Amino acid sequence: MDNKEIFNRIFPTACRYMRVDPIKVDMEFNDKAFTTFETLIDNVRFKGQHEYVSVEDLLNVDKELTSKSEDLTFYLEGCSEAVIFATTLGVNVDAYSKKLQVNDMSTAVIYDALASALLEFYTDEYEDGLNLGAHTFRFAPGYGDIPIELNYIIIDAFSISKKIGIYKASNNMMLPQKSMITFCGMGKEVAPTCAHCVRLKNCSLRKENLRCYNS
Amino acid sequence: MLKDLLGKKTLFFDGGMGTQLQANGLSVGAIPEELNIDKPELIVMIHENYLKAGADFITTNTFGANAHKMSRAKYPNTEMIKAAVKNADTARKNLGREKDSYIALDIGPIGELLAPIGTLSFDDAYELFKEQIVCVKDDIDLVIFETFGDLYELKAGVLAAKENCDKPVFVSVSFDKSGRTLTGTNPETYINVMEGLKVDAIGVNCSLGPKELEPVILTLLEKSHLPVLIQPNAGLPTLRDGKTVFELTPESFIEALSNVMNEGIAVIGGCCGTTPDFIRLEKENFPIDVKQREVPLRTAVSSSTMTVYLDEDVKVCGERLNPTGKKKLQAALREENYDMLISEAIAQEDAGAKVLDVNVGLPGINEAAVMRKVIPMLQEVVSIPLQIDSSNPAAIEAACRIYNGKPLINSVNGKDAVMEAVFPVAKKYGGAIIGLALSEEVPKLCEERVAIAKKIIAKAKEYGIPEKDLLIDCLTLTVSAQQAEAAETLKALKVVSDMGLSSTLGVSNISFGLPNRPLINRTFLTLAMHSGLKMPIINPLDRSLMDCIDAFNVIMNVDAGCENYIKNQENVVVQTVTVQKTAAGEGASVPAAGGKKDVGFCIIKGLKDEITAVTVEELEKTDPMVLINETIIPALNKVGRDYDSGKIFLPQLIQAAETAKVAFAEVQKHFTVSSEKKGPVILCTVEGDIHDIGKNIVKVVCESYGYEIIDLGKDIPVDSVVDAYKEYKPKAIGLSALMTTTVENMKRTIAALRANDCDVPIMVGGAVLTEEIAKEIDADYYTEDAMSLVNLFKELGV
Repeated sequence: MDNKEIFNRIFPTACRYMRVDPIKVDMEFNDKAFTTFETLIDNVRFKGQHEYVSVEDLLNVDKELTSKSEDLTFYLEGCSEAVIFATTLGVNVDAYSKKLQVNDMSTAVIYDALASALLEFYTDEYEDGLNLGAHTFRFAPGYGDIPIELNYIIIDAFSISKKIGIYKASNNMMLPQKSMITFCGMGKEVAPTCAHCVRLKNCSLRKENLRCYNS
Repeated sequence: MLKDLLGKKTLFFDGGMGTQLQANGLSVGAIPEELNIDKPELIVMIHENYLKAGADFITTNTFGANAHKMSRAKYPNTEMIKAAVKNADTARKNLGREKDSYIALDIGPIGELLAPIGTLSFDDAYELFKEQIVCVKDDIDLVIFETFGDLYELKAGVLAAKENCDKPVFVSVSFDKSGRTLTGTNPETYINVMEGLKVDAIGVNCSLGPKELEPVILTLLEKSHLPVLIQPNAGLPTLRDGKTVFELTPESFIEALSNVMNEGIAVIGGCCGTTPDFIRLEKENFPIDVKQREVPLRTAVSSSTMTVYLDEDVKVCGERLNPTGKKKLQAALREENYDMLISEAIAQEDAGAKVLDVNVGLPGINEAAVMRKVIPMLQEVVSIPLQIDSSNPAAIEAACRIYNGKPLINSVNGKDAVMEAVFPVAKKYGGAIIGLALSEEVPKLCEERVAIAKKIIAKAKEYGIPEKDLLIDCLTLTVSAQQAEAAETLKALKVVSDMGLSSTLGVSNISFGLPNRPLINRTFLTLAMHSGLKMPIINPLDRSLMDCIDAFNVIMNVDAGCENYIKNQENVVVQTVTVQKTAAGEGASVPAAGGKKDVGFCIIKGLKDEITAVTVEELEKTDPMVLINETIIPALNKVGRDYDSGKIFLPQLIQAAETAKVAFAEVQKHFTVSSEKKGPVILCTVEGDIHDIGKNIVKVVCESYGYEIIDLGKDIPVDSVVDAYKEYKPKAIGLSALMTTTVENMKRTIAALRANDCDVPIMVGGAVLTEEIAKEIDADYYTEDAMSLVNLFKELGV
């Protein structure tokens, strides 16, 4: 897939992050976004890591934390095992973003939104490359009532800092900023739809008739 | 004993510890270091197996034993480290190997990135490493830092080891397939920085197998003067029956090392997936004696990601980060407002500088403290190495310590007292140094300058600093005052070059007091380069000087195929122009493209590159105040309305705001007294929150409306906000947070401000904030975005 194709795939998502209506976007804005995207691609060093674990092992990784979450149990119910994904665009993306924020804030906003969308895209591609068979959609610590503190536990338990360079930062945040830790359950097919989502009743996107997934 | 053998006889490390522990039942999420106390017999057995296989080194089971990582462990980290060292000692005693095996205290990364990329301070990292070392420093034979991905963190570790323990220090980092560490360091840079810090062996481990690491290993062997240590994984991990396994057998591992085996590797071991069988085969196959390598010394300085060689073609050092003669920069430094410094740094790097001079010396400021602040700030946004420019040894030391890379120090001169104050700093931190050919007397002749240079070289040698770590500044004097000396400078450059040394010059000093200074500067630069000048210190934004270098590189056959020259010059329109002085200064203003765009149009369209010229033209016929009130403000208001009504979006709003800011700056030059600024307003992202893009958007938009913003930055402690409130007495305070978890800190910040009688409005914003949360945490106002905040400021008369 060349840069233009990837850009076309992620641009609507990036627009959503910028609160830009993709239909109203003019050619000038589109060109600027694509130029920014090419700079972004030059800075990206995508890395992914995945780990197969039994559901029991995942829940035992820190019982005190996982027992607090009803959503985690809900999503993994009926699954034979789980797959943990850690993905990142690398530190160069953060460094260039910082530079843009000093001398070109407008481009920085576009760059940031594209980077977020690109991380999701690459993570999807990474997941697709594993040919997992029947599995749930990916969800993450911080989603629903799944404790965000699990990020730290998982980073340590699977040597994620050492292997792909996602580090803990204060307040359960991660660095590089464009990094994700997610997991899915194996053995049952659950697509990402609003009906399967714990945020069904209080989703701000839904109120604007938007979706966080490709329908 | 170890130092006698190292680099002469091949020595053998052990193999993977984690692999062995997992094979013995270590479960997911368990803490391996606890086993030092819970199952010492298991750890001793693993060490013994490696010793029996032929290992000379025992790596203690302490990879993650820093206080941060061990916060969840059931024992204090230092207790686990002591137990680990005891286990290693027991193993070698059990096998009678006390005299010919070495206990290596294993230290891995802390697990958090250091500021400015991350949040952990350099000093805190240093303290964490120090704690790990001090508790066992008398019971170990060496310290090994391994699997590091961040050069800066490694520097903190090495300093902690060197300053608190007298044992050898080995370093080993992980490179990925791109040949860089996780934070982007390449092997050349790693070598240059670690050799400067005088570690005892340099190496690579983990991440990849021997075949994939071969290019990095060969680079280490080709470019490092230190003994080289390698500990590859047993190939790449693959998944078999749901378990991670490594692809290489001991035999195929050895086979994969065949290209590098006889090239001078001093220490060999194994990392993930390797077992005693791997070490046994290494011992059988590697040569007993280490092949001796001849590696030439180079003059090179480094940032964390880039090494710049100063002994080949001409490299420009940007001179603009220096307050001398720059009133605005002086004021900014005194006010601790570093935005200007940072913008200048980016502009110089973008213009082609390969090194940046940093000078913050001003009467009345604490130069060392300012250096400690600005060096990380600059390194966050520019990737090229920095030149620490100060006459204050304490400031040089503060800067060298906090600097990420191998710095260039500017400078010493031929005075003994100066050299005796600066050389120890350069030696400790591994900096290259500029030696200025100046002593008690200002030298006139070439011979005098060369004599001073030789004195500096000799003195440096006494400190163990090689002459390749020196650049000689042959001293530029003003040609209008000392005309005969300019030729002496050029002669000295030639002599220094013939001595095999690199040289530098501050070029523009030459033309003080003469008309058309650029002409003299260009001519002198060209002659100096032809005499051997390697690093001119100039303004890289001066295209005429940079063009000179492009042309020089073509003529001297440095720019192969004129590629760089053509890239930079192909769009230049050659004109014969006579430049005359105008009342406003030198040169004439450039007319706006097309001649039809006005200031309002440029702001609305966000034409940042054109706004200066258009504003200058408009100011020739319009009063500055009228331009602000009748053009700039209405244009900004239109942009604001368009944004509110969804006609334009956030990036366009910001583009317009940035354009207006440039226009304001131009207009301000035309006020005889400074124009009234609105504010000031304090902005920051609260403690614990490192996401500051939202706060930065607000800053740009507010500044475009003329508000003076005091930007405290991100992750700002509660007390610092209170201190800033007391110091700056702002008209409002804006706090930003992205994460739910940091809203609590926002609440604490507001409470602390209230407790200190803060009587100005406190605004909050950020992704997780709502009107309700704002009320809950006692903020005065919540605003949804930057425009709403500006509107609120107007409403409140801030």
